[in-house]
Amino acid sequence: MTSEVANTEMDQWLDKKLDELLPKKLKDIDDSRTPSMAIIATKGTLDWAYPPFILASTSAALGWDTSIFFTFYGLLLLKKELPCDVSPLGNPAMPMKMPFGPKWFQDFDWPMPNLLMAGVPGFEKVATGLMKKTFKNKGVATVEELRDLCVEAEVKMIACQMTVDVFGFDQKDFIPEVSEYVGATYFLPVAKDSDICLFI
Amino acid sequence: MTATTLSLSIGEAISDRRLSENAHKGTMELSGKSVRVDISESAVQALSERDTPLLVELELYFSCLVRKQIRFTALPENPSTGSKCALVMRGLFASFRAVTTSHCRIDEVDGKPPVETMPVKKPDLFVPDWLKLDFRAGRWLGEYGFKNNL
Repeated sequence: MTSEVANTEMDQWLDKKLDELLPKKLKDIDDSRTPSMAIIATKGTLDWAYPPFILASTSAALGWDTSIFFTFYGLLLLKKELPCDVSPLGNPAMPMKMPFGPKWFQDFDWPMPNLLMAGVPGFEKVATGLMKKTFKNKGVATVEELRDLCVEAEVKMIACQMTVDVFGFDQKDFIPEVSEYVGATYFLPVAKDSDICLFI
Repeated sequence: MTATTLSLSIGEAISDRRLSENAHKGTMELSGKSVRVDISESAVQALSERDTPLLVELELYFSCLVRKQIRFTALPENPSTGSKCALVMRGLFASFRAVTTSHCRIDEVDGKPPVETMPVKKPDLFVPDWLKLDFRAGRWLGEYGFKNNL
C-alpha cells in the first residue's frame, strides 16, 4: 500500500515536471533545427520554370536545406542552355498582353483564337519573347539568374537518371552543379523527411 | 537633413552604347564579393554636380516572383565606416540587401514599396556580379545582374 502511494506521488511529480519542462525543451529543439524543403520539378516550359527556382532560392535565402528533384520535362531545366519556351495554346488562363507601347495598349488583353495560335508558325517564339520582355520590364530575375542563385545558395540539384535514359540525354548535356543522378527511391526518403514537399 | 529616396529603378535596360568610351569602369567590394561597376558618362557628370553623397541600394525582392530593383537615395552625409555601404567612387556608395514584403504588388514603384529586410542567412551568396548606372532625363537608372546575364 505504501509503495502504491509512493508510485502515485512519483507519477504526479513526474507529470508536473514534464508539464513544466517539456514545452520549452521541445521549442528549443524546434528552434535549433534547420527546416527543409523538397521540390519535385516536372515541367520544362518557361512559365513553369519559375516556381521551383523561385521557391528554392527563397527557401535557401532563409537558410533552409533545399533540394530539387528534376524529373520528366523538368529535367530540361538543368540543361546548360535553358531551352524554355511558353505556349499560350490550350492555356486560356494565360493573358496575352503587349509589353510595349502606350498604357492602354499594354493593358489590352488580346483575344487569340486557338486556330491562330496553332496555325501561325513561330507563334510560340513570339509568345516566349513577349513573356520574357514583360518580366524584364518588371525587373523579374530571369530563369537563368534564379538557377544561378540556387546554385550559389547550395540548393541540391538532383536529376532523375531514368528520365535521362528515356529521353536519350547525356549527363554532359547538363550543368555540372547537378549533385546526383538518381531515381525516385533515392528522393522519396528525402521528401519524406522534409518539412515541406512540393510537386510542381 | 534626412536621407531621401530619389527614385526606384526597376527593369531598366542600360545599353552598352551608354557605357562606351568616357564611362567609368571599375569594381567594388560588396559583402566580400567583387562586383563589376559600369557608370555612364552622364551619370559620372551628374555625380560630380551633386553636393551630397548618393547611395545605390541593390535590392533583391523575394515575393511570388524574385525581382531586382535599385533604390537611389540622397544621403545627408557619407555613411559611417561601420555601415554595410561600399564606396564605389567619390560621392557614390552602394549596398545590397534582400527584401521581402507582406503583400504582393509587383507594380509598386512609387518610391515607397512595402519592403522590409529579409532575414537571409547568407546574404553574400545573393550579391550580384555586376552593376550598371545611368542618368537620363534627370532620373537615375540602374541595372544589376548575375554571372549568366552579363
